[in-house]
Amino acid sequence: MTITVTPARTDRMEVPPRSRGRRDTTLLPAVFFLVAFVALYFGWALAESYHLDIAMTFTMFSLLALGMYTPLFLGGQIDLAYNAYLAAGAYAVAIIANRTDIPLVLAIPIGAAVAATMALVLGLVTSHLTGFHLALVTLLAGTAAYRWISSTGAGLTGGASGIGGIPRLDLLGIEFGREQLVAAGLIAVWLVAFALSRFRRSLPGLAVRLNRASTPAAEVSGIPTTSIRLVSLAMGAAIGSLGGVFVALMNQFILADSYAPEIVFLALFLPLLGGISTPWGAVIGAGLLCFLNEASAFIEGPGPLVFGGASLAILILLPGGLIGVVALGWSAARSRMRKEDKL
Amino acid sequence: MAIEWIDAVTALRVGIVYALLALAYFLFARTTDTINFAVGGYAMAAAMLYATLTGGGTSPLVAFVVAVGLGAVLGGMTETFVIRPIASKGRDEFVVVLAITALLFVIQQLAGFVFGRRAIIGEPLTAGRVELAGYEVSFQNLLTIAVGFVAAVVVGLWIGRGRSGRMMRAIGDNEQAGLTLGIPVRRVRLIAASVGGLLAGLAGALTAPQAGNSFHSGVSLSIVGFIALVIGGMGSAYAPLIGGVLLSFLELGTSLIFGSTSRDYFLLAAVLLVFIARPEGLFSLKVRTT
Amino acid sequence: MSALLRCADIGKNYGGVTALKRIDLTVGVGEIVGLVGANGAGKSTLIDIISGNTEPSRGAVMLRDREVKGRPARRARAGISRTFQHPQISEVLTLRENVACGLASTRMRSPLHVLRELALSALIDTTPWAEVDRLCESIGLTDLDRVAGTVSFGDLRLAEVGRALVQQPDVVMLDEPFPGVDDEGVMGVLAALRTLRGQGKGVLLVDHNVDIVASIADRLVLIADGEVAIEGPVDECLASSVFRERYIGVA
Ligand SMILES: Nc1ncnc2c1ncn2[C@@H]1O[C@H](COP(=O)(O)OP(=O)(O)OP(=O)(O)O)[C@@H](O)[C@H]1O
Ligand SMILES: [Mg+2]
Repeated sequence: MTITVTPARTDRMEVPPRSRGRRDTTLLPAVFFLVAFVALYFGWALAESYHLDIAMTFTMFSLLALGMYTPLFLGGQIDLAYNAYLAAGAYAVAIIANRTDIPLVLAIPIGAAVAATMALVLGLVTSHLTGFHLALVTLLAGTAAYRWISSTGAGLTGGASGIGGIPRLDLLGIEFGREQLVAAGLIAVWLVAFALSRFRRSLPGLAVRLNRASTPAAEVSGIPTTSIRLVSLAMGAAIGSLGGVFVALMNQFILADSYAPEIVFLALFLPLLGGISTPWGAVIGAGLLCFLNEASAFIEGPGPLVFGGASLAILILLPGGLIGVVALGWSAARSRMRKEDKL
Repeated sequence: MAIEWIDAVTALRVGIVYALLALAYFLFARTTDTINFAVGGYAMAAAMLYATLTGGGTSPLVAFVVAVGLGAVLGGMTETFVIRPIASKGRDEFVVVLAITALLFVIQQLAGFVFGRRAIIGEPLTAGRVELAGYEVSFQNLLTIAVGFVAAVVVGLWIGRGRSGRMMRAIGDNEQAGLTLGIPVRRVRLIAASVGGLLAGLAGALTAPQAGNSFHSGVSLSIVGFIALVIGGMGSAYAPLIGGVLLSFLELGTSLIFGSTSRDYFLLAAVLLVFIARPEGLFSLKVRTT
Repeated sequence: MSALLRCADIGKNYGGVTALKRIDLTVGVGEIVGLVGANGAGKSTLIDIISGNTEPSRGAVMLRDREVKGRPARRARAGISRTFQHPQISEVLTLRENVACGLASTRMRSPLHVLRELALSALIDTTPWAEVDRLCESIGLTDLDRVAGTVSFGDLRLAEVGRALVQQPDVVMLDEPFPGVDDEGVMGVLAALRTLRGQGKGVLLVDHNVDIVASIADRLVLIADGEVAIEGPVDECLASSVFRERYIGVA
């Protein structure tokens, strides 16, 4: 009945120290993208005026997709109200510039706070919803927000015709013209993507990811699942609002139609195309979008079709996204990489 | 504020269309455990095809049949090329939702590419109108109500009594149980998906002469159909019918009271209310919660 | 021995089905209690109730004579940790990362802690990875860079045990931790449990392998028909005819 069990290692201290911890894999991509951004800015964006506009489109889509990255791709929360968060940033700029005496730079935190608050309220109301039902409610919320800015709230938002005449941001004696704004935008994208790639591997990031796999497991691990869900929603919304801030400052006007729910669908595909195993995938996706935008007449041409079709094919065939493919070709033997790349 | 009875006829017609979309959702949800967000896309594609064909001189009846057929084909293709391959890779609801969303996007862009990006209106199936209690009512309106209603009832009967309908209920979302019972699960699913697509196509073809449809009507059709399903629930095959008509009358009521721009707010409020107060739907729907 | 964990008069009905009738159970300071019972006896249900994953129909759970209530995360922070009979692990995280999640119970105690971790996360890596690695090695879990979706069932179980232990709990409950685990892992887990015992912590160990349970437990508790059928020192229990009838006879 009894077995003799010899305590192999009673004392944890007896274990010989080995190489501890994990390698930091976040630095290499960050350096790569830093170099790429610098080259892009000085070698390409400054060359022609309309390159600056493309670079700004890239910035906006990058920030939008990076905003969606944490709640969606790490947390599995399908929040589709991102057009509203983007609008929060843009309208914060326009309204503060044209209707108040508040320094324009404060539009950045105010827009972020408004977006985060919206996401928090929406997150609280939808706390028991997942999957399709969450997608439906957030899509409707985004639609309602669009309705509000384009008609009901016209007194404040200027309705469909939007708000024009936004002055240039003047900060510490530097006037942020188009060149400076694009530079600031690229820096913001780089910082956010880098921070997220570190967040993803930190304890809060792991908490979000474990909660996606199993809420009971997250709860018994002591993870405050409700707060962590709300925090990730608010964080994503705030990042998304930043995209709106930059676009409004760049164009010096805003139109309600730029904030229709349709934009969310495109942004949703960016990390898929770029690869979801790292936030840099969202940046790559945004780059591809802008490239396609250039390569074909985007609005009328087959651009979005190619884009959506590619996303669909990736979802069906290889849920790891493009980075997944590269990783596979790079080291096919390491099958675990594929696992890591899975959603 | 008095509700003119003609408004009620319009609301009934709109509600029947919602009901067809909800029923399409119902068929997909019951057999493939997927809220097929693309059904609005099928309806839009069918409407665009119908409008394009009748605009080019094809007889409305032929155009109607072809458009409805397009819906059925799209439904079947969705099951074969999207839902089944993803399910076979180990089903992750998150991937399914993204894929279905992408599919809707693709259908819309494809429609914009093929049929053009402007809104188009189709010829009515039958011209002419009758005078009823002081109002002119077009035949098309009455036909929409009649055809939609009959289709909903026939599908309801099929699910309740028909052979493959019964098998469909037996499978539910449990493929293994179905296989053990010797049911050809794949075939039943394909049939259900095609019928779902057909119903969505019907909804589209019936609305094509009423209102302008453009390539991005798909999302809003998807949304109202889903809401009708949420309100009605999935308790029985007739729940989507009730949900669709109810939603339409509620819409009519709010637009009379608050004006037509209130629609988006109303839809959001209605869905939140149902989810909070009665998550299983008014007629018992299983809402997926954590 | 004073009681660390006490279950008082716990009952649980699922609709008409009675899973637990009336359970009184204590785990003392520095005590390892083996909880045994036939399939469906309600062992997992009891653990679920203690950890807060299931609401009891009646009764209370006390930790150091104070009632514990609320969500599982709260109880985890209060010092109760557990594993699941069916491992609940993120397949996309590495083993190391899965285990590290247990650190949340000490490092994410309040919203303020969460925000601090969040703010720090972008700048420096504050997670004590070396501690995680040491713990894993002590229970025989190695090669921690493996993604959990690719490892054996036994290693998944060990990762769950690691996640429960890294919380530095006052009471740890292991729900069938041994199936699929190789000898080295079993030894490692048992050694870790002994260490806990030495530190005055409590352990509630559930497993169908009575030999292993008996080799380490200070006391056995057998539940049958929703009640404690017999409890007492290991040798007495094993020798008793009640034990054989109600457990081995049934199983
Ligand atoms: N969610 C539930 N709904 C209904 N009955 C349940 C539920 N969970 C458990 N039960 C029932 O409660 C009883 C106790 O189950 P439990 O899983 O706690 O047993 P166990 O002792 O852990 O068994 P095993 O040794 O097989 O793990 C069983 O009869 C089971 O069928
Ligand atoms: Mg059990």
